Amino acid sequence: MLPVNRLVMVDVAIIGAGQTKYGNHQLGMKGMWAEAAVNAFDSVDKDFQPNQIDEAYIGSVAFGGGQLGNTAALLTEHTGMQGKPVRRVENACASSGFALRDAWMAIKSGQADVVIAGGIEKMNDLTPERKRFWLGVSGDTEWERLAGLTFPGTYALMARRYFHEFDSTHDDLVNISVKNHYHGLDNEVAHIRKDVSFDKAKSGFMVADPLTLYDCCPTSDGASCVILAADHVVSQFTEDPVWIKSSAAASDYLALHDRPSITQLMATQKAAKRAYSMAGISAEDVDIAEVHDCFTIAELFATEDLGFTERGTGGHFARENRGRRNEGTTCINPSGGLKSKGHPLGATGTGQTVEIFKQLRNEVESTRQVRDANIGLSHNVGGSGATCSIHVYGRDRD
Amino acid sequence: MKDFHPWHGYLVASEEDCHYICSTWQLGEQCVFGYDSDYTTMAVALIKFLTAQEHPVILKAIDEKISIDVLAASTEHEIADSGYTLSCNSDASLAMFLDDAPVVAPPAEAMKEINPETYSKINHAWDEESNERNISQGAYVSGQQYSESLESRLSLTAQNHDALIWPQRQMDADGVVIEDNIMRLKPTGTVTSWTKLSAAGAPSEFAIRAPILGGIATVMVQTTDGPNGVFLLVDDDTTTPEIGASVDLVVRRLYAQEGSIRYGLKAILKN
Repeated sequence: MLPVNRLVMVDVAIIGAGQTKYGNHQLGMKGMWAEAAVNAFDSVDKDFQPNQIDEAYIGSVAFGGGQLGNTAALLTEHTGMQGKPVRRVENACASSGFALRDAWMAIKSGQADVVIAGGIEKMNDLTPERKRFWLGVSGDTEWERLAGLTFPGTYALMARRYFHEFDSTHDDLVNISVKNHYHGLDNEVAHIRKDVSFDKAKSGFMVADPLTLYDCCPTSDGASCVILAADHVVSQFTEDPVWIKSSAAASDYLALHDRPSITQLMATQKAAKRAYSMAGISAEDVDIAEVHDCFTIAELFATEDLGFTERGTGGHFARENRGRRNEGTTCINPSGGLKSKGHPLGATGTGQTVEIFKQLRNEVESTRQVRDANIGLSHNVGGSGATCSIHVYGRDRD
Repeated sequence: MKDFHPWHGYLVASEEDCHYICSTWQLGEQCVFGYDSDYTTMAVALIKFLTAQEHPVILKAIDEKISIDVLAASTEHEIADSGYTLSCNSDASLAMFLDDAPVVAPPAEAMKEINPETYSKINHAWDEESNERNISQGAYVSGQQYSESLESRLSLTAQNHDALIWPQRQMDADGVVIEDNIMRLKPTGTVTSWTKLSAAGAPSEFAIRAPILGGIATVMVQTTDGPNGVFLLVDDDTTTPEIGASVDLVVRRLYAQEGSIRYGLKAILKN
């Protein structure tokens, strides 16, 4: 039995982080995971060997069904971690956000000192019909899916209702799309790197009225990996860690029709409240936030639910470009977000962490570095909001 | 029978011992089914019409083209040795009668001409979708799971547990087991949001029909009794819903899987 103070006092830091480029990847799952893991290993400032890892948590929806069972065992045996306790974590698009939380808890509990949290998804090697099947498996199969809804449909219902209840129009979502493409333009690992004008984004192909193609993230291949360490071993690996100041998570009803409101994500609100409290900060203290913009309306909700703007004013926040890099108080999605960087489901959560780690250490491309960022936040949502994990990061341990 | 009433997207004529329902669509002079209707959906509508008039429905014979399971889950009727015969006609109509089948022609002035090309494609699509060899690429709802929730799906059976709960669930938010205190919600409501998915954005269950129809429309509805639900629009109609619009919830075909049609409620906009 570990002493109680060990259970509650240990702090957790990120000592390394890496990922593949997101997009249509030439490599399969094993190759992609190896690339992300090696990038993470190489990012550690001092000598690091994979056999120093105690546990591994890998988020994946197992899109396509290629390796549904024992995914983590297969992947880690190809990256020098044979024999380690490993497992796949599945919570739809929030899989690796929860993998990160599980890894954090493993260290907090005192059972491990060095832990991998990662994620992976191979999405673009399927026929269109198989792809559409897997894109729908995380929604409410029995009641929503039989009513013709996929996630573009559920988020479209949310968007239309939001426009009805608050002072907002589709133009606000267009602004979010334009901003995220601008942020992702110089991101070398982003899936879609192109400057998108307001007029172009406004006139996109209608996917699910009122959401157009420019409101929807792409389906991406990709893998991401972060290495966590307990405070008492951090200095073995780096003098410049990024500390995880809090980890929080929540869930909500799976189907929209069971929720009291469809113009907010209660799981985000609950998790955010806990995350801020644990970190001892408020929303105004956050310098950069990677939020889950699987659809542009999801980013609008996130800015409200995370407290960056008042409820009902997300449209104003977007149209006033308050989330734009080095312009507002909080830069929203400096990586380009899911919209531009891409969304390889299981890899997205820890991919957000990779971005925060590098931004806080001033290691991203100079043209897209956010100035004076000390506090970061990642917000990873499963499906239409049934699950959510939030992490707060800081340069300082305290 | 001269007086036809619009009902759940169909036309109904009713006399003391004889009742008739038909589609509102015609192809040339032939009365034909709409894009998501069949004899089962019309039989459900006819019995619901009669029960709405407080006319008891006792059946002694049901045409084999009609799904007895769907009828049982959707309507309030009795089966007995004497009563009505529910019989399908050769066109898109059926009759319910005590003695002799009525000879009724659909009212030509109330019929709408269906697009022949779309009609042909949709029928072909349903045939293809209903074929046992067609393996759905869609999210799998097993036959057992579909049957388990069939009554709740078709009759809006809800639990009365402080508030009305639909679809039914095992425990409430406080972890209290919900007893089977069942009531049926009124099949009416108001649109609270809506979307139309492009064919490319539609679930793969609808992969065959959605391109023909130019996508599929879904509405979120707050039922008159309170609980919310999401429903497809009847016939994947070309009409555009509005928030605040009133709807009736009626039984229609949803899609086919493993050789059988899956039925559910769809929303039909009130005029």
